[in-house]
Amino acid sequence: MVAQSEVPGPSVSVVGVPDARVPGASVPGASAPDASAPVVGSEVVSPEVAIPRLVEKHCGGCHTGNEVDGYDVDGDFDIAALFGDQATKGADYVAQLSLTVQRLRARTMPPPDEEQPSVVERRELLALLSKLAPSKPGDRVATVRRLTRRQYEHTAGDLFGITWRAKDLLPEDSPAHGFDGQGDVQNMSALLFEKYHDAAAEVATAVLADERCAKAFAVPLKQWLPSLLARAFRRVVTSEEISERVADAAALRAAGLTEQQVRHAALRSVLVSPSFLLRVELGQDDAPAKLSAHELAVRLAFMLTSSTPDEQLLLAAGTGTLLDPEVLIAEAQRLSRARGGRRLADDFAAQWLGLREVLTATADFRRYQQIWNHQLRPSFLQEALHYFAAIVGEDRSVLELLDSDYTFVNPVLAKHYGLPGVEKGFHRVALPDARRGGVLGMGVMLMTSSFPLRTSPVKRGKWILDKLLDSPPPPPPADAGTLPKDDKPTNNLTLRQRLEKHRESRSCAGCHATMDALGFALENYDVVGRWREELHGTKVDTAATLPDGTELHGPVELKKALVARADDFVRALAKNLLVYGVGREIGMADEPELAKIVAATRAGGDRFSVLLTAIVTSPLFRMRDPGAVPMQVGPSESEQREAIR
Amino acid sequence: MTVGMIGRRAFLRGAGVTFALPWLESLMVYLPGEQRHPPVRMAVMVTPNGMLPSAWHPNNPTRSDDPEGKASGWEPSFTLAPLAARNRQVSVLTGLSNRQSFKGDGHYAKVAPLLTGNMIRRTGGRDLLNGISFDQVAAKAMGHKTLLPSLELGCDPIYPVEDMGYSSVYGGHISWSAVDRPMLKEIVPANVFDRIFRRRTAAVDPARQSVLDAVRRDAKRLAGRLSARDRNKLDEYEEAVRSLERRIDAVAKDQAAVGSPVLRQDQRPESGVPGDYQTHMSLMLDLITMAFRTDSTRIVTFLTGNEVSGRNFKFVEGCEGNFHGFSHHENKPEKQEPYRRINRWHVAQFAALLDRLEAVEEGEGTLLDHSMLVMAAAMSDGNRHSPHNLPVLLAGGASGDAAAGHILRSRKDTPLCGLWLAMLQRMGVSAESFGDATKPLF
Repeated sequence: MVAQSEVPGPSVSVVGVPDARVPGASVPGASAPDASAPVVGSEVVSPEVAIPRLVEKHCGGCHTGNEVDGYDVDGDFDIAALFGDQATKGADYVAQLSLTVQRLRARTMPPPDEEQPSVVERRELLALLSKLAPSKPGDRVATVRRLTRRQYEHTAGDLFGITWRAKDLLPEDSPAHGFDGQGDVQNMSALLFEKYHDAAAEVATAVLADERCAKAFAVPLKQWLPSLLARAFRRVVTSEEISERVADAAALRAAGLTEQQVRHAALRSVLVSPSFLLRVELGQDDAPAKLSAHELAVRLAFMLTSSTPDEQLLLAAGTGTLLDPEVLIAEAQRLSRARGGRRLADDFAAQWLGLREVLTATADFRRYQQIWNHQLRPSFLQEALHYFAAIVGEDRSVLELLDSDYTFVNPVLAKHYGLPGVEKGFHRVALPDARRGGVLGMGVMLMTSSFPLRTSPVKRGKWILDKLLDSPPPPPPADAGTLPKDDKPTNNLTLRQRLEKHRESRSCAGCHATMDALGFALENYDVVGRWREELHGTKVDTAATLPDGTELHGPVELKKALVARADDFVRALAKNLLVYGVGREIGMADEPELAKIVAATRAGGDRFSVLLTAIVTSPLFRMRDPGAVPMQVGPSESEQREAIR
Repeated sequence: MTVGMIGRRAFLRGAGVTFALPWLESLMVYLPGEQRHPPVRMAVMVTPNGMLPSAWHPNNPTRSDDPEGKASGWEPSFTLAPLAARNRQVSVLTGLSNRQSFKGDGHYAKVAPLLTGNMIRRTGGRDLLNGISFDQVAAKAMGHKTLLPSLELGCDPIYPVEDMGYSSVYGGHISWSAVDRPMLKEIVPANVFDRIFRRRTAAVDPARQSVLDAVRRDAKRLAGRLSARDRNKLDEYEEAVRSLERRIDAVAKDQAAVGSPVLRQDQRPESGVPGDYQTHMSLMLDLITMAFRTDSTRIVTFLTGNEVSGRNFKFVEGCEGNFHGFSHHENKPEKQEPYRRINRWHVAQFAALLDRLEAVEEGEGTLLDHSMLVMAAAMSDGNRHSPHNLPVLLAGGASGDAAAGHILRSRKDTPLCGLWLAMLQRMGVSAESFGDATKPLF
C-alpha cells in the first residue's frame, strides 16, 4: 500500500461491496445518504454503509447505536460507524476500532450467551477490521532508539572485554508496550547526558586499567581509532570522522596531556557520541525504506544478544552478504543460540512475562513460611530463564512455554515442588505428572499473580490474557470495588462466590467471564506456587467454563485449552518479539505480516528457529518502513522519504 | 554559621563545615548592593493517589474579633495535624482544579498535566504530548543564574505499566521542558549530592571541551540525514550537551569568584536507593534544603511517589498494605483510616521540609522566609479519581500574605494554573498567563 493522502485507508467499497447489505434492510442509527455511497450495479447503496456480512451477522444485532434491550451496555456503539466515511477516521475512530478488535480477539465479544463465530470466522472478522486501520506515512517507522541500560552494559563489556555495571550511574529505562528501548519514550535530558558523561569516564578508566586492553594501546592512536570507531558506531566510518579525532588527540597532546589522558579522552568522546548511544536507522542510500546491512546487523544483535554486533556479524554487514536472506537467517540462528539463548531470556523473556517482578513479590510470612528461604524467589526467576533459554538454545517448540513434561529445578525448587532432590545448581528434570511444565506451573507466574494472603484468579486470568494471548482486558473502572485480601471465607462467602456476584453486573461480566475462568483453573496452586487440593478445609474448586463453552477442570485442562489456541499464543509471542526487536508498537496495520509469521511458524512445527526465521525475513523486521511497500506505483523513493519527514 | 539543623543525617555530620558555600557567604561580598537580597526559591512537592477529602479540609476558627473568619489561622483537620503549629504560616487552598485533567481516565492523565495545565494525549508511547510545566518556564527564564537551572527529584523509578492507555512516562514525571520531553528525575540521594556539590570542586578536566566538541560534530553530521521525528530526538541530545557546557562554565566562574569551597566526601549519602522509604524521604528533604541554601538551584519539583503507587506504608501504624488499594476506599472506614494516615504522613514530610528551611538563617531571616513551597496531589478523592478541589498547601515567606495561614477559598474549579502563574510572577518571570489562568491566584 502506498499511503499518500493525509489519512489514507482502504475505501469502504473495497471492503463492503461484495457483502453489501440488501438495500432496505434498515439499520437504526445508520448515517444519512451521501454522494460517496458505494454503487452496486446502477443502484446506490444507501442510506446504509456497506458492512461485511460476517460483521453484520455477529455484531450488527446489538451494536446499532441504539440500546436494544440493554444488550449494548453503553448503548452508543454503532458497528456501521467503523465502515463509514474515511474523513471521520479521527482519534475516536481508531480508539473504537482497536477496542472492537481487542474485544473480538479476547473473545469477550460476542458475549457468552450469543452465537460464537467459528475459529475461521473470528480470524476473518479480525482481518476485516484490521484492514480499516488508517495509517499515515511514517506511522510504522521506529523512532531512533537509545541503548538501554542493559544494552549499554553489555556493549561496553563486549567491545572492550571488560565487565562493567552501571549501578546507580544510569537510570532505569522508561518502557512502552511492555519493553524498554522504545525510541518514542526515550528522552535525552541534561541530567541523563551528564550520567552518560560520567559513565563514559568510568568505562574509559576501566578499559585503560585492563591489562588485556593495554595491548590495543600498544599501537599508535591512528591505527587504533578506525577499528574502535567502526565497532563502536556499528557502521562504516568516514575518513573524516577518523582524521578529526586524530586531530583532537594531537591537540590534546600539544596541550600537554599524557598519552594515557589522550586515549581516555578519545574513548570518552566515542562513548558519549550519538553514533554510539543512538541506534540510527536511515535505510539504504538508494532505498531508504529498506534497512542497510549494518542497520540490519544492529537490529539483529540487539534483539538477540542485547548487545552490539560481534565481529562476524559486522563482517557480514560490511561485505553486504547479510542482505542475503540465507546469511541473515544463519546469523540470526547463531546469535540466538549464543550463550545458550540466555541473553534473549534475560532481556526479552524477563520483560515479556514480567519475570523479575517475582523478586519483589511478597507472601504472608506466617502463612507461607517458605518465604523465609531467600533463595526461593530468585530460584523461581532462574527456573523461568533457564526454561526459556533452553527453548531458544535447543530450538524446541515454543508451545512448550505452555505445556511440557520437563522443567528446571535446583535443590530449593525440587523440594518446593515436591520433586526428587537434585544436586546443586539448575537441572532439567522430567516431571512425574502434568501439573508442572510450562510457565503456568512455575512459581514465577503463580506468585506474581497472587496477593500475600490469597491467590488472585482475576490477576492470573489477566496475566494469561495479557502475556500469552495478547488480549488484555480493559482496565477496571475506578469504583469497580475490591475483594477481601484474605482467602478465609467472610460472611460465609468464598472468593469464588464473591466473584460470581461481581459477574452479575453485565458490564463486569464481559471481561471477568474469561479472566475468572482462566484463573480458577489455576486454583490448585497456592500463593507461593505449591500444589494444593484443599483450601481452609474445603476441596479446591477449579471448575470453570470459558465464554466459548470450553470447560476447564484444573491446570492440566487449562494448558490443553491454551495449546488449542496456539495461533493466538504464537501471535502474542511473535508480536512481543517484534516490539522488542523493532522498537515500536506493532499495530493493526502490521497484522497481515504478523499473520504470515504465525502461519509460517505453525507450519514449521512451532520451533523457535522457524519463528525467528519468519520474523527476521519479514518486512516488519527488514524494512525501515514496511508501510512503504510495494513501491511500483508510488512516488519515487526520495519523494517518499520527504513525505516521511 | 551553623549547619546544625540538618546534622542528624550521616552525610550532614560535622556542623560548621561548609559543602559548597551558602548563598550569602559565597556571593554577597562580590555583589553590588541591590543584588544582595536573598533570591526567591520555590519547591513543589507532589504526592500520589490523592488525599481523602473528608479528613483533609480544616476549619476556620470562629473568633469573636473576626466573625467573617478572615484572620489567619485554622483548626487542623486529621490530615493537616502535623502542621498545627504552623497554621499561621501555611495556607490551605480550596476550589482549585486543573480543567485539562477532567477528561482523561486513570491517574496518569491527572498527574502529568498537574504543573503544565495542558491536556495530555492518550498514547502508549508515540507522540507524547503534554505542555511545558511552570517550573521549566521559570528555569528557562532564570535558570542560568544558578549552578542547576532546576532540580527534579523523586523516590520511585519509572513503573513499567501503562495506565488506561497512557504511557508510563506520564505517571512518573511532573516536570516537562517541552511538550514531549519529561525531565528525568533523580531518585538516588548520593547522585543529587554529587550533582550539587562534587561538581563545584571537580578537578579540572583538560579534555572535557575536546570531548564535547567531538560529540557535537558527530551530532551535526547525523542531523542532516534524519527524519523529523528523529531530528527532534537529536535536538534533545544537542540541547543536553549545551546544558552541560553551561554548567561547566558556571562552575568555573563560581570557583573563580569564591575559590574552592570545602567538600567532605564522608558527608555524601550512601550510594543506591535507600531501602527504607523514611530515610529516603528524609535525605531528599535534606538535599532540597542544601540545594537552596547553597543557591545551587532555586527551582525544585519533588514527586514523592509515582502515581498509582502501591507502596506499603507499614511503618505508619495501621497502614500495612497497598497505598493505591487503600485510596480506592469504597467509603469503607477500614480503608479510609489507613488512607488518611498515609496522607497525614505525607503532610508531616512537608512540615519537616519547612522545619529544615526555617532552621537555616539567611540575611535578615531564614531560608523559609525566602521560599515558596507548595504541596499538592493530582486528585482529591483517590476512590473516584476526582480532579476537583485538589488538596493544595502553600507556605513560605516569599509567597507573601497568601501563605500566612488562610483558608484561601476559590470558586469551584478555579484554575490551579493561577497558583503557578502567581509563583512565576513572584519568581520574577514576566508572564501574563499560564495554562488556563489569565490572572494570578495571589
